[in-house]
Amino acid sequence: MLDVRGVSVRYGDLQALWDVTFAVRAGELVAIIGPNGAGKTTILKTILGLVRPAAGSIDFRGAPLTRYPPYDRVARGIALVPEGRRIFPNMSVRDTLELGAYTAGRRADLRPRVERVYDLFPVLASRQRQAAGTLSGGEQQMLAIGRALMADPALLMLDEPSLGLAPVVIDHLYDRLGELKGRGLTILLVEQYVAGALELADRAYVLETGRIVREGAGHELLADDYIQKTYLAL
Amino acid sequence: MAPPAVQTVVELLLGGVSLGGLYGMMAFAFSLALATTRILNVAHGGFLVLGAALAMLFFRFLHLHFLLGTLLLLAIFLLVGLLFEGAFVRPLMGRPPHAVLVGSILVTFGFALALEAFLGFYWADLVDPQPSFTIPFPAPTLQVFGLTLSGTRLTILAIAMLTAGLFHLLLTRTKMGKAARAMSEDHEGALIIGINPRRLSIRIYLVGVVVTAFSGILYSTTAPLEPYSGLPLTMIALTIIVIGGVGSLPGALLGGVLVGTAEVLTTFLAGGAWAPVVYLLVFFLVLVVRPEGLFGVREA
Ligand SMILES: Nc1ncnc2c1ncn2[C@@H]1O[C@H](COP(=O)(O)OP(=O)(O)OP(=O)(O)O)[C@@H](O)[C@H]1O
Ligand SMILES: [Mg+2]
Repeated sequence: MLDVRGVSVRYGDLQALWDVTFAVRAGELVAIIGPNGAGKTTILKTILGLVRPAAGSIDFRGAPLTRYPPYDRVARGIALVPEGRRIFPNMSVRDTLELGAYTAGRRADLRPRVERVYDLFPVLASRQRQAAGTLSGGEQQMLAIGRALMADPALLMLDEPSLGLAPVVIDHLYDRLGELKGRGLTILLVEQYVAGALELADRAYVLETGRIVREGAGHELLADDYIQKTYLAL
Repeated sequence: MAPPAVQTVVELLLGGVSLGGLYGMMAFAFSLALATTRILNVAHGGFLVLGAALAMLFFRFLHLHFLLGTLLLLAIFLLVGLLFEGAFVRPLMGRPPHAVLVGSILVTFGFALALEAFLGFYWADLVDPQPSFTIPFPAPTLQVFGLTLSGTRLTILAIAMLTAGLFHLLLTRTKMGKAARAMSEDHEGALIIGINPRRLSIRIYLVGVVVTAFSGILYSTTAPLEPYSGLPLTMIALTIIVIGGVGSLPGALLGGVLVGTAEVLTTFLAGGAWAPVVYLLVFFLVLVVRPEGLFGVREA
């Protein structure tokens, strides 16, 4: 579904990604793990078109994406749950969700989509008139995921959804991600919460200082010596 | 008959509030554009002057029929909005925020000066050797409780309130308005959900220039605008949105009424030259007490 080939990204003099190649197949949950500053966010931003690669190509559903601005990529089926959530603090939960379907046509019926999000995260239904900024961190993360799902994406990308949340909240969120995966949604998950991400992932890539240094099935990497020492502190 | 003192006070307040409503609507157009596109349009006040100048040309020199002239003005203002967006907003889009802010100040300042020069020199050559734009609109006065109220000012106030209501509906009921709010609350968040910033900014400048230019026409029904009134009006818009908070509709209206009333009262008590001093004082007080503006969102 997604083919990233030889992508390099520079921010001025700093090169954030070096010849990054990976793929996500339909129905897979692929994780990218790596330490702070490894370039994980940069990968997702490049896929969405917020950052331009200096080299390389990105194909989505068999067609090259490189020419398209972010809104066309969203319309083609890529949705991002960004790092730090980036919700709109004064906007109501309901309005936020409806805006998530911004690229859907004017005539699209949003109610069934909103209902599906409320089924996944019932707490959002009880908060629907509330301003997004008044939600707790975990609820805001759910809202950010719900907003992305409203676009009815073929590929859902999440950037460190566990960031800053309490362990019980993280468990709850990961259960929901497992549910989405179970429904066949294709997911690209970026995390520093290595244990959780690898457990859920079909396959995973390890990114360090802008380069992919390891790849494999989620459970293989979980058992890998290097991963255990470096990321799981076992 | 009400006592003369009461009549004077009511007249001053109506003058202040109606001027304030007008200021509020033009300041909100400025504010919405700044909040969503991060373009600080120094030429904003120039659009008021342009509106008044063209209205004067059409109605007082060419004697166009009211409806025909109004439609023609609307078409011209839409075109100006489109061209302005294409020339000054488009090229800056997608650059880092500080580059957009600084770049926009520079290019729109240039445009504001060009507009001043055009209205100052060519207007004098081609239309009227004494450029001063005013469209007297003698609406009948109204008698309420023995008070005499200016029909013109009441009309201005009504139009300002109607415009505010329409702005409110735009922001809360339409996809465009919600997208604009999203864009002003989290720019990158808005791009991420697939908002097309170009399409949004075109619409915002179409609406913004029309509202601003028509508020210039309203202004000129009670006082003349000069070719060089543009930059002071931009300063007023800036003051108002700093008082009210960038992107806030109630903030722009309240800020507008504060500045408008301060201006009218100061002019009456001490002379027009003191008006800027007083509203800058209000501006300063708000900055000290509530730096994010009365209705602004405190950065998290
Ligand atoms: N807009 C930018 N301008 C300049 N440098 C940047 C920019 N964004 C990121 N970088 C740099 O690029 C590198 C990769 O950053 P990135 O945010 O992609 O890392 P990350 O893996 O997401 O880190 P984290 O886990 O902290 O979110 C870092 O060195 C970072 O400082
Ligand atoms: Mg990151």
